Amino acid sequence: MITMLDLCFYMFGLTLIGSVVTVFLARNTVYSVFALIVAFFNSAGIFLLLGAEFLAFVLLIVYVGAVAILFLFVVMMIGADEPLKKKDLFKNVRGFILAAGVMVTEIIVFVTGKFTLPSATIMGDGDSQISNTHAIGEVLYTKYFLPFQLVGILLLIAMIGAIVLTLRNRTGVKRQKAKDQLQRKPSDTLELKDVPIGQGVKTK
Amino acid sequence: MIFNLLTILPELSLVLASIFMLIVGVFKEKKQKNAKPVSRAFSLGIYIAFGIFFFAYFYEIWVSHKFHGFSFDGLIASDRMTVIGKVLVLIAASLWIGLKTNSTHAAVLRAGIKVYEYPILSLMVLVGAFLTIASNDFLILFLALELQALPLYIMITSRHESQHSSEAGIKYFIFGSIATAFVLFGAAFLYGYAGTTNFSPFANLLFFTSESVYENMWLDIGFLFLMMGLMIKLAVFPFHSWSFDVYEGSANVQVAFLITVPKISIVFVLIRLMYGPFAQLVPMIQPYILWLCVASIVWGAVGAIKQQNIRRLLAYASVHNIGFILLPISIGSFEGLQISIEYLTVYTLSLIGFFIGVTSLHKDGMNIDKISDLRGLWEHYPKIAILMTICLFSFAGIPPLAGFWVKLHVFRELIKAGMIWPTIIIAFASIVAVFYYLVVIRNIFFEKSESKLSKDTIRFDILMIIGSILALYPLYQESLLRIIEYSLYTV
Repeated sequence: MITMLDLCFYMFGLTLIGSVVTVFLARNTVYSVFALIVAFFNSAGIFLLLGAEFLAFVLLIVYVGAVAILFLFVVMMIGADEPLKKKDLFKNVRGFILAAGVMVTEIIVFVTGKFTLPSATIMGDGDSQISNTHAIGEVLYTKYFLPFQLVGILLLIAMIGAIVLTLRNRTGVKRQKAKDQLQRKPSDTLELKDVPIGQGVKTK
Repeated sequence: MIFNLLTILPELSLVLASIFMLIVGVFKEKKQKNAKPVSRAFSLGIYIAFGIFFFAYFYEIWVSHKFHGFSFDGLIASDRMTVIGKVLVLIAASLWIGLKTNSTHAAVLRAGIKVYEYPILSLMVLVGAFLTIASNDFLILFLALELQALPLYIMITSRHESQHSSEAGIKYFIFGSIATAFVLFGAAFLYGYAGTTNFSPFANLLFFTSESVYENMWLDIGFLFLMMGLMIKLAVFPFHSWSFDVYEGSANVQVAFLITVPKISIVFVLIRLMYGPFAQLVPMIQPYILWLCVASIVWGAVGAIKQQNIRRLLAYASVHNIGFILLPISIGSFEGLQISIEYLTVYTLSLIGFFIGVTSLHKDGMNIDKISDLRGLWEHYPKIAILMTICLFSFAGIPPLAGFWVKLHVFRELIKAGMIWPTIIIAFASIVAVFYYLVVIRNIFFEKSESKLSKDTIRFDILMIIGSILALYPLYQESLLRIIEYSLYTV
């Protein structure tokens, strides 16, 4: 029996898979980013079906609003001069085919005879008066205090990494030295001379 | 709510130390930073403070056994196995952190790593490895794996002058992300099955519903993906292909770090998963792990024959040895578990000894890159040559050395479990593996070199200790096994 919920779930899910496949198969990187945005929207839809409105909208705001747009900037700034050829896309895949083959065989062996199509259900207790954000807020600093701090450390490392990998001291580049400019006095560079009329000044 | 900070004392002290170093770095002049990362007194202070904290942790958990169990609402496990794992990681990492007190500093500079943050990042890797070992929850496991991997990506990519460095960094980053995605995917399925991310409930859940375990496809798939994700990180055949290019593109000091620390921690988390919560599922996945291990032993032995680059050779050797480490685990017996940790210990010690030799040497101001760069070592530095040879023979499993005994234990355990064919195959594969270790030894002793090798000041005491540990293994192997056994009873 397929309910409306199932229908929505499979629609979002299939579109999600399709758009994610497009992300890595699209030869133009701008298309990839747009497909990624579609994927984010669909996963937000799945979150909504699960009853997690807060996560759904945070996903939209953070990932579509900030991350994907940032990707788009980067992709457009780098500029894809020549789109990838299909031949290059599938170069050096022998090892991966081997690895994937091993995994697929194992999955087939495991799954044979047990396959059931799951049906969608709304998670969590729908009756409770506690809202989504309230529920997260209750555990975030108590039960999940340690993971929360770890995420902070991870972000710190990511920041260090971004600085370490991009900051380099280039020699031979002229830079503005604000400190030196501000500390300059007229007496450092300017020499006042009393010029006698008709004689001029001798330069060294 | 148990907020027991003592159970994460080593991690806490390392995080505080690295944040402190970051703050100190802000007030340093740019030129000063490039020349010397951290001053000698400062780094000594960090070592001592950390030593005290770690000893407190060790004492409370191992000796007085006071804080045994779980803390942070079951997120962190603290038993004797976490202690032994952390000690092993610490032994593997302490020499390669890149702080000023050890001789690796010169090798770090020679490799073109001029980043002030390098030692800070390596401390963070240590934090990640510690937490991975102690994790008792998928959430912590995921975060700790990332915490361990993210600084490593940055460390590998941080050699600005080298093109290989960015290639290696990108490859490691992509494969690490794929592995993490696998782990997360598996964890999501397992969460869907049990409704909890914590490891502890799984044991009861699976034990009491053992009949339906084999019926539930989602549980199986989740467990499978989890295992595969961890195996990608361990570079087990056929998920090994990333490791060669990554190791080749990194500097020797980085490889010494990369080849030991993350692998030790992941082996320990595999043990925790396979012997704790998912013990019921292990018989199902066991044949796959067994044959993947056999395949990686064979592949690591055969593939290494033609290698010229020393780090590539060690990457193959690592694929070869990781097979030996996982094989006894896959048997599923208590002795197998012990032997696996024993093998891991000996392998780590041999690697450290070998890398102390390799990183201290340089030729024409360049780090040792090819096996042929080691030519003439016996003429110039016979002590280093002998100790490196002990380590290599230990890898190869030549009788009086430690490597022989641990391999023997693996074979004995396999035969006891009735796996005759795998034993025969891996016995032949390890004979093949002896060949390429002998190639390195031939280069050290019998080939004449065109240009002269030089060396940094080297800690002979550490090399001597490692050499004698490997050589005198039969004297104390009983007590080592007993320590491991003692640590595992509490899991």
